[in-house]
Parts: sequence; C-alpha cells; structure tokens
Amino acid sequence: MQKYISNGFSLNTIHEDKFKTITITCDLIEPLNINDFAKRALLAELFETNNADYPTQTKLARQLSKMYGASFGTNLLRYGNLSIIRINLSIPNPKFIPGNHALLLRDAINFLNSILMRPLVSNNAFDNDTFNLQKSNMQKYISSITDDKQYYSSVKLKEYYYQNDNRGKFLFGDVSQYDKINSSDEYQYYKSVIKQDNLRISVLGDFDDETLMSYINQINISNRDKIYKIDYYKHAESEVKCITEDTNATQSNLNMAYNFPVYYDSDDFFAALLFNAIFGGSSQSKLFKNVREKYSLAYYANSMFNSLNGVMMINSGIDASNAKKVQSIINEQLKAIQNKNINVDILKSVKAEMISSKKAILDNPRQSLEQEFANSLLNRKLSFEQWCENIDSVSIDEIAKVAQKVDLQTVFLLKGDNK
Amino acid sequence: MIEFKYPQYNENVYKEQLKNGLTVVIEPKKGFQKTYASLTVKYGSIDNTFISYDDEKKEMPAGIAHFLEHKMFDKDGYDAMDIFSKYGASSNAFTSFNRTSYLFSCTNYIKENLNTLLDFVQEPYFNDKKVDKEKGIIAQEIKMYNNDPNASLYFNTIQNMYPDSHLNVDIAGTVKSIKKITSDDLYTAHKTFYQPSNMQLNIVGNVNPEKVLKIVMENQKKHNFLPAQKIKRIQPLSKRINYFNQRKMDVFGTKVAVGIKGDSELGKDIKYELSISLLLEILFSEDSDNYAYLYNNGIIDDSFGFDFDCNKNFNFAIIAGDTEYPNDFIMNIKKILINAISNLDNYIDELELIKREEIGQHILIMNSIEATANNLGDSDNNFVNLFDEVNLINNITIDNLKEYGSKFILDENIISNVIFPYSDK
Repeated sequence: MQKYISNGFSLNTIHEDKFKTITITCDLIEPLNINDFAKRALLAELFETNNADYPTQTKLARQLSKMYGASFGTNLLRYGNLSIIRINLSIPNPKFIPGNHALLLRDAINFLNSILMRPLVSNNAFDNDTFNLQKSNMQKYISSITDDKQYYSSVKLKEYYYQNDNRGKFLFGDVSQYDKINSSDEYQYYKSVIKQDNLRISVLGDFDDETLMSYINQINISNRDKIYKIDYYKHAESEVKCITEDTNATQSNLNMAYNFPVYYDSDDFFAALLFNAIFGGSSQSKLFKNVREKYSLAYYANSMFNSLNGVMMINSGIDASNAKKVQSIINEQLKAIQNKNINVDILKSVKAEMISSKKAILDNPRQSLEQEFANSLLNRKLSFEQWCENIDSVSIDEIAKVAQKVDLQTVFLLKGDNK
Repeated sequence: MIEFKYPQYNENVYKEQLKNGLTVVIEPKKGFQKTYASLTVKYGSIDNTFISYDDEKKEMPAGIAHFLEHKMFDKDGYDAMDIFSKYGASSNAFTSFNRTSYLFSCTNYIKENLNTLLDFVQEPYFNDKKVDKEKGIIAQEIKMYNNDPNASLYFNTIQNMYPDSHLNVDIAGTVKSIKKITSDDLYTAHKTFYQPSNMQLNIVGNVNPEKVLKIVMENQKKHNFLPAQKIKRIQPLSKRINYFNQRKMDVFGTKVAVGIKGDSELGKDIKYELSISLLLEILFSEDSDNYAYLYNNGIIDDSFGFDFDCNKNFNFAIIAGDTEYPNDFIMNIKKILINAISNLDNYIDELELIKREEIGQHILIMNSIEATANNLGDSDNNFVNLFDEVNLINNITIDNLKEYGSKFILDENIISNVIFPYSDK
C-alpha cells in the first residue's frame, strides 16, 4: 500500500508474514547541499544519540532493549543528487515473544516520533554536551577514514572524478566545516529539515494497516513545499587524469572511473547491467577470471555501475609495481567485450545469477524495502517478470555496443607497498 | 531423520547422520525464495599439526586450511563456481580457526547445486602449477587483511593471548609460510580431514526435508571414501600469555583492545557461553552505566565494541575501540571486569532487560536464511541451535553469571594491546 499522508510525506506498507520481525524505515530526503554536509551528518548522529523522551544514550538504549532488542540506527546515504537520512528500526513480531506485547508496534512508532519530532533542545539549541561530544566524534571519524585504505581510495576517486559536483564530495563533510557550527546553528538546520525534507516511512511485515495508520497519524508532518526528484549527472569529458598518492601500507589500491552515460531509464540500461556483470561485476567476470585467476595479481578486482550518475568504477588491491600491468589487462578485457569476445555460456550463467539474486531480495526485509524505495524515487514500475525478460533478451551485440560508451576519465592509485 | 519441533516459531529442524558419517541438518523455510546450503569441515587454521591418514606426524605450513579452501574450487579445466553460476547459484567459502565452510545460495536447481557442492568439496584435484599460481592471489588477500588496522588489532590480540599455540598465526598464514605449500600437502590435508564423518551439511530454505535428504544420500553413493579414521590433531594447550603489546601503524588515532583468555575446559558448556555473553552485555553494552561513563568522558566512542568467541578448545573475549586515552581505556575496562562479579547483585533488573534484548536478536536471526544456517549447532555443542538457545537464555540467572563469570574473569588472564599512529602525524 502506498499512501500520501501529506504532500511529500508518504507511507508505504508491504505485508509479508514469512518474517518474524516488523521492519521500519524512515527516509528524510533533500538535495545535496555542500554547505549543509556537516550539519546533516551531525543530525543523523544526534537522532541516534538521545531526545527529549530519552534524554541520555543509556535511556534510549534501554528503551530498545525493553522493546525486545529492537534494532535501531541512522545512516546517511546519497542517491545521485539527493541526500538521505535513513532511520532504521525493527522489532520482533509480538507473536513470537513470550507474554502479551500487542502494543509493541505502537511503542516503536512512538519511539520513531520521539526521534524525529522531540529532539533534546533548550534555548533554541541542541543540548550542548550532546552536541559537542557528537561533533568531536564526527571530526575524529572523518580524520580516521584514511585508516581504511579501500574506502579512502574510493572516496578520493569520486572526489577527482566529479570535480566540483556535490556528488563527488565526501558526504560527511570535512573537519573544518564542523568547526564553524554550534548547537543553535544545528537546531536551525533541524527545523528546516523537519519543515522541508520529503519524508517516507516504509513498514514491512505482518501487521494491520489501519492500526498502523492510527499510530502514524500522530506524527505531525505538514505539507512540503517541494517534492525532490532525481537529476541526471552529465559528465564533462576531459583527458584522463592519473593521480598517485603515497601511503604507508602493505598493499596498493588501484581505482578507476569511466564516464558511462547510461541511466536507469535508458534503452540500453539492461545491456549496461550485463556489461558490468561480464566486465567486473561477478565471479564470472573478465576481471575476476584474468586479473585474479589468470595473472594472480589481485585478490579482488571489481567493477560497479551507477545508473543514477552514469559512471562505472573499478577497484582493486595490488602491488604498486604491478599497477601498469593491471591497468593494461583491464583495458584489454574492456576491448575484448567491445569486440564481442563474450562467451555465450558465461553470458547465460551471468543472467541466471542476476535473476536469482533479484528474486532473493524478497527474502531480506531491508533489501526489499531498499528496492521499493529506489523504485519509488525513480518512478520505476517494472514487474519481476518483465525485469527477467529484459535481462534475458540482452544479446552479445548489445553488450558490445553499450561497452563502446565507456570512457576512462580518472585513475587513482593509493601507493602502499611497504614490505 | 530426527525431527525437532519449535511450534512457538513455526519451525522444525531435521537431523540425520548418513552411513558414511556425514551429518545433515535441514530447516525448511516456508515462503522463502532462496535455499542456502553449507558444507562444513572441522578443519581450520589451528589444525596445522596432526597425524595423517597414513599415520605420519605432519607439521604443515601456516595457512594451509585456507589455501586448501581456495584450491578446492579449481578443477581440471573448470572452476566449481562456474557450475554454480550456470545454475544461478552464488557460491563462496571461508576458513576460521577451526572450520572450513563451503556454501551456495540459489533460487532454483537445488538438486544440481547440492550435487555440485558435495562433488567439488569431496573430490580433490590439485597440481603444483595451479598451487603456485594461487600463491599470488592469497598473498594479496593476506596483504589486504594486514592493511586493515581493526582486523590487525583483533587477530594480534588473539595471538598475544595464545602465543604458544596454533592461534598465534593469522588464519590465512603469512606471505612467507604459504610459499612452502605443495600439492602433496593439500592432498594429505584433504585425505585426513575431509572425511564425511568430519563434515556437516546444513540446508535451509525452500525445501522438502525428505526430498533433499534423498538427493544427498544418492550423491554420497557415487563417491568412494576411505574408511573413516579418527582424526588425531596435535594442539598444544596454551600456557603462556603476553600481557601487553604495542606497535605502530598508519592510523589516525590510537586503537586499543583488552583481551580475556577463558579456561579452554569450559568452552563446551553452552550455559557458560550464554552466561558470559550476557555478562559482557550487562557490563559494556549501550544499556550500561559503564558505557555511558566511558563515552561521556571521551574514553570510548562509537567504534567501541566487544565480542565473545567460544569454541570447544578455546574461548576468549575482546573489548576494543579507538581512543585518545589508551591508559584510561585499559585501566577502566580492567577495573570494570575485576569488580564485575561482586557487583552483580545490583544488576538483576539489567539481566532481565539484556535477556529481552538477546531474545529479540535471536528472533532477528530467524529472518535470515544464512544466519539461521550458521546457527544450527554441531556435534561440538550437542546440536544446540538458535531456537534452543532462546529457552536457555530465558533460564539464565544472576547466579549463573556469578558462577561462570568468576571462572572467566581472572586478573592473570586479561591482556591489552595497542596500535599507535606513527609519531610524525
């Protein structure tokens, strides 16, 4: 069921009784605005920490335990030009816990309401102690992303590839941004989020719609002025840029970005999905079979296709001395696909695997909700059967043709190799 | 087949041991698309020294169990993954200290995929050329783990708790140790450990238990196995401990771990495992006053976490996180641990709360086909599965926590380990 509670506030319910939990997601959606990155990241943290009803972290954690180990957390996500604060909450279905807990779903929605609508505020500012501690924790977190070389190198690749577009900026902002904000700035930002962000609550499990509605109606969300939509990203083509950064590590990370102007609603979208799977997106891929299996140069070498931004990215962990060799193998494999050098049996297998994983999404409540969310954001209404047909009908010629569209733009090497 | 019924969750678990010794555990999941199967061998990185099937003492290069896991997929002219893929299945494998597991998940062709799984794990095919080629791949895998400071801290802490046992090396071995591995070594390890009687097949998903069991039985008839032999592992009992270790890595902030080495005799007792897990939750979860104190004073942050790993032959807890104040971190955690048992009478309400939390977490696991399959128990714990655990958790008392906790938390079994950033940062 899809229901609009007010303009820009929708409720989406999926009834499924095979799960033993009720899974709830609340998404707050607005366009990426670089000036607000730090404030937004902090807001997601503050939501997770406390509120007027549960004014300490301990009280909040104990309420979750009381709700039979409800799991709860917030995430910050990026969908193309949109920034999303996602609140995840799930509770066991009352049927499966000892005693009478018929009101557990009500408690969960009330809990969500506390998070969203009742922040811990005094004098028009977030509680200072909470704010300062979370601010300093976020600054530490941002400084420490270099600890995770794989993650850090993918962040840097995006930064170089998107140049000045917000899509390439680190979503949590930079350390200096945090220095400039105080608890009242943060509260002003919170108010604008609650007033303007588009809101979507999704609930999946075994429950009664009317009862749920009666709980949700207590969340007081007014009509929104604007409905935010996904925008295409058009990359300004340029010469290939190669950037090397030195680091002290046992391994080097090679990351590459290709402009690949195919989008989720393009005619060749399904060909592009298959091209990615054949190139570096599966265990049957050319990169897996060659960079790893044939030449033993890496443990992983993957490609990913982003159909919101029209980009394909590759990442791999290698020895720096092999960087040139790995790049030339990657290039050879791309040429092979462009020249229709694709094994028919492998194509069949890749299709079977993709269809199987698509089906398997329905076994995972979070993934099911994620799929629904993406479909609604992209206004996509393809049935599973149609999706399979579209995958099945892609030919080798179509894959070779769409593969012509990729154009290497950025190579980022995080050079480690201390022995 | 023995049937175990759990009507409160609408679930049944079926168990059978085949004539050749293979244990099969099946849990049908109605309404699910997927079927997941894992074939687990009781063989891991700590089983490096053993008496082989032909009665010789073998001391293998570190990392051989993991190396064998990689090489099992590689067959004469094809890779087992290709067959799975043909049937729309995705496959994988992993090696831990004491287990090697091979798995697939699929939404169709259950028979074909089950046959593929059993065939590729039970029929070895190695040669030196292929073995040599794998060394480059695994070397990169080892370097990838070494590059991850959190994984490094975790495994290094274990190594310092067990410096005189096979737990003192990374699961994948070292770049140097894997260079020594030959195809003969792999054959020896396979013959010794990959006996059906040393394996368990778990199948969870959209299946009919009788039908899948029949598929497995038919398949096993096609294979020729050596007569079952008792496996003789030589695992030195760890007596030493390194109380403090520090080193430097390319990290932004300091990382600290406190390790508690449990009495290896106690690990077989499921009540011990559950009691210690609950005790650690009471002491260190976000529900606790300890957490609030440490967090609000900046001694821990959101990276803080703890973990209790309990096995038949070893068990330990690790409490770790990033901190600006490593000394305060270690002192406070130790103090909380040492005082834990005498304070427990004040925590009766907390125990009830934490039990609720744990029961909820178990119900969450039941949602996931994979997580359910990984929690069906085995012969090491009398096949206690996640459904049984809920009942056991319900019955745990403060006295259990006191009894087991006082055996677990001993000053002489607590160590600490620190990773500092390079000073030029």
